[in-house]
Amino acid sequence: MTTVEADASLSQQGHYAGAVTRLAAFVVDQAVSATSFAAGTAVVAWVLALVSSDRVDIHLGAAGVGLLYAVWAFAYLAYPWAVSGKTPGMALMGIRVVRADGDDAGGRRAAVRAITLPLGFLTLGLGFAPIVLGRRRRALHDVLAGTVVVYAWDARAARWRFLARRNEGGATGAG
Amino acid sequence: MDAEGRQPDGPGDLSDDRSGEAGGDRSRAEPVARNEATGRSPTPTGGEGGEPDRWGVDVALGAASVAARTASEVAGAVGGSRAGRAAGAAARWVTRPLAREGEQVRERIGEEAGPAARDVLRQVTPGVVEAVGIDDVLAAIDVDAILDRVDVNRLVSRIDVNAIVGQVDVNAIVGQVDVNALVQRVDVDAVVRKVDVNAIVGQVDLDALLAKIDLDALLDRLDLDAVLARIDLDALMARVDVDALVSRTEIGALVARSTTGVASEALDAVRRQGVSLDNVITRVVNRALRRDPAALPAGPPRLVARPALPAGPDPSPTGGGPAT
Repeated sequence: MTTVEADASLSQQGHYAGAVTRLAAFVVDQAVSATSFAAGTAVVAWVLALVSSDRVDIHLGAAGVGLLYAVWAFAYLAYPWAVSGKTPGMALMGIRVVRADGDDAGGRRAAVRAITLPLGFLTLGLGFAPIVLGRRRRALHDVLAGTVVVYAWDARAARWRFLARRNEGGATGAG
Repeated sequence: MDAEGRQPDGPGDLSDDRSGEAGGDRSRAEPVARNEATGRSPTPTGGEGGEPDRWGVDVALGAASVAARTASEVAGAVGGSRAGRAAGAAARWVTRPLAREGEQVRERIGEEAGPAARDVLRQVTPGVVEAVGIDDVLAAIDVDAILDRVDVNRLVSRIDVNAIVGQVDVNAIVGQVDVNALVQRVDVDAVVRKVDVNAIVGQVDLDALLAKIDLDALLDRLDLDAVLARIDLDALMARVDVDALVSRTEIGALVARSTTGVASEALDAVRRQGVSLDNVITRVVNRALRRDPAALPAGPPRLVARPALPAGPDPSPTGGGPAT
């Protein structure tokens, strides 16, 4: 394999992201979102307890908490997608959301994508099947929003960093 | 010699022939006449083996010599006496008119003999030249033998070649030469084929040659913009082995210092593992669905058509670069 071919295989920046990376990013995002929601609600409850007396008793119920979490989840997903195209989990895994032609997703598409995301679960996961089987790896909410998910991570740069660290480690060990 | 052409038997015959003037003329004319008739050369007749003419002349000169010697002796004996001197003076007085006339004749001969001789030569020379075959004379000359006797080296050594060349106006000669016509008659290809270019180049002192070149002036005349415009930088960079460059140079150390950290290293590892698993699943699916991976779109047109971004911050405002 020549150097050029090796670089082409290493750098997949801009290519459609695969299912594993996207699932990992989603798991991270859900963990962050749930943790931050729980922490947020706990802080809010503690602050309310401090400023009020025991006479204040808030009972939202499951529906209320679920609705509140849905709003939080929407904000957690839509805002980062509209601003930078990636949530914290996606940034961690090096992927981003863009329009089908490659431009930035924008606020409207980000909102539609965040609202239609639960459709994948409501269809018993069939809405996520195109990520594995589709030619462009677009889930149902991607098709509805007109977006795709691509790699925003330059694997070639990571390889350079790896080579640089190995080279410097060898020089340090020799010295 | 008689009229029938008979040869004289001896000197007596010749003396007889020369005794009278008419007889002498006849004796000189007869051999010539006979030679013209027979084509033979005259035969010697004297006892000495010489020719008749030479024999007669010798006899006459011998007689004159004897007579002069005798007269000198007599004159010396007689002139030494007083009577002899008186007789001499009388004879000089008597022969004075004869001496005067003889002197005039001698002076006239001196004055007129030269021009007359020149006139004679002028009239005779064309006939002689015409009669003599120059070609025959030259053909009879052995030029090779003459040249063999000539020391050419000595002859050449006496020639001042530099002086001769110094008198030659080379520019005038060259100015009259039609160089174009001369060059057109030259088979340049044949000349070049005979030239040992390697030998010529081997004799060239490239260091000295390069030392004479003003590289600054040369670069000033070079339009670098035009040169760079003709370079396909993308193709050039594609030929660069960046991995080897990072591994061998200080660039790697700079990159390492700017991204040092366990988090970045762990992040790279996690991402690399995720991409590897994605590729595995993609290969399995493509094989199961019998799809040609090369026929599948790699990504959005605007992102895939654009060359991969170099390492570092994402130039796009949304920050699509790696989160290091």
